[in-house]
Amino acid sequence: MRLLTHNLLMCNLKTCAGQNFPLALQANEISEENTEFNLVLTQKMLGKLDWKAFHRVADSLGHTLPEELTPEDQNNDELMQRLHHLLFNIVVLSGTLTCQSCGRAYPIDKGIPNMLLEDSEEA
Amino acid sequence: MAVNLKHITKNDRQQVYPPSQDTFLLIDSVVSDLSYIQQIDPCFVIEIGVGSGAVLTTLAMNQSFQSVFIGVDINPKATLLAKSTLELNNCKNYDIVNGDIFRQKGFFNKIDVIICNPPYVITSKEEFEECQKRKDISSSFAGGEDGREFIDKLFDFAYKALSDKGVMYMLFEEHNGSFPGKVLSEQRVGCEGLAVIRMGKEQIREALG
Repeated sequence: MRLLTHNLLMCNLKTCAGQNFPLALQANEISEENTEFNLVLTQKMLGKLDWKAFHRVADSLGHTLPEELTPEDQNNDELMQRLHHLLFNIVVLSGTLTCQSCGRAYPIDKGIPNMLLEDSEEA
Repeated sequence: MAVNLKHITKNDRQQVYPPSQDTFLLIDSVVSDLSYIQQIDPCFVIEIGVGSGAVLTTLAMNQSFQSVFIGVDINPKATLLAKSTLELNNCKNYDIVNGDIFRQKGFFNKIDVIICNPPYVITSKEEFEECQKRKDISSSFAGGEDGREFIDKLFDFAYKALSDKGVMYMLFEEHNGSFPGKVLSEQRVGCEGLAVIRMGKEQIREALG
């Protein structure tokens, strides 16, 4: 699971409204890929990103980012390269995503987050 | 360059819907419409029911637009196979999620292209629900009444998930009915009349009724 995908996932329980996003990430195993810097895709992604959630998850992995992203930041090459690396190159192979509201934990195994609910939770 | 699917074993084929004639009809139709996708300039392309990963991998291998490719499937075996298909074909900027797509509210308003070969086979409502619960290969074909139960839920989800410029490419069978949009291809396979349609957000709203 890449951090860009973390930015799309929330607690799947219907009863869990409100603080179901973002999920807290506990990363047990991370691989860092080395894809070429892609400014166009990084800028496109920033238009979609929930920055607060991304800021928080990056922080939990020890990467401090600016609290807010200004339009000028989009031309800051060094920052854009860092964001590209964080969004596209960091792959969480195993760990857990935990809802900050209800505490439901979703495992990540072999790089795939498992958002499936048990039959008893499906209602 | 065609997608390499040689790693798919006999065992995989029993657990995950394997690349079949409908899969390749969907691939050919979407590939024939690449200039339209380029024009949308998508950021997120998702495949609902990624299965073996053949369709998503073909798109991720295509270099004509810059995007992120996310495959979602309810069947855990499918997510593992799709991931290995993407890896084997040296794709980048992809991710796989194991889950029920209709619960992914975090996707709302963010997706630019949805691709789906839904379960379209006519079954009873009970069988559709049972197969979705089983989260195995049966969920890839059992479509409920008129084969429309998944499709109707898909329209509801797609309308909410797509960005304003977003489109959905969907395969369907003639017994499912007809839908507003641009039919890109039609093919008769045995007793099935298959078609692939491209629907914009407004057309999906119309289909919702």
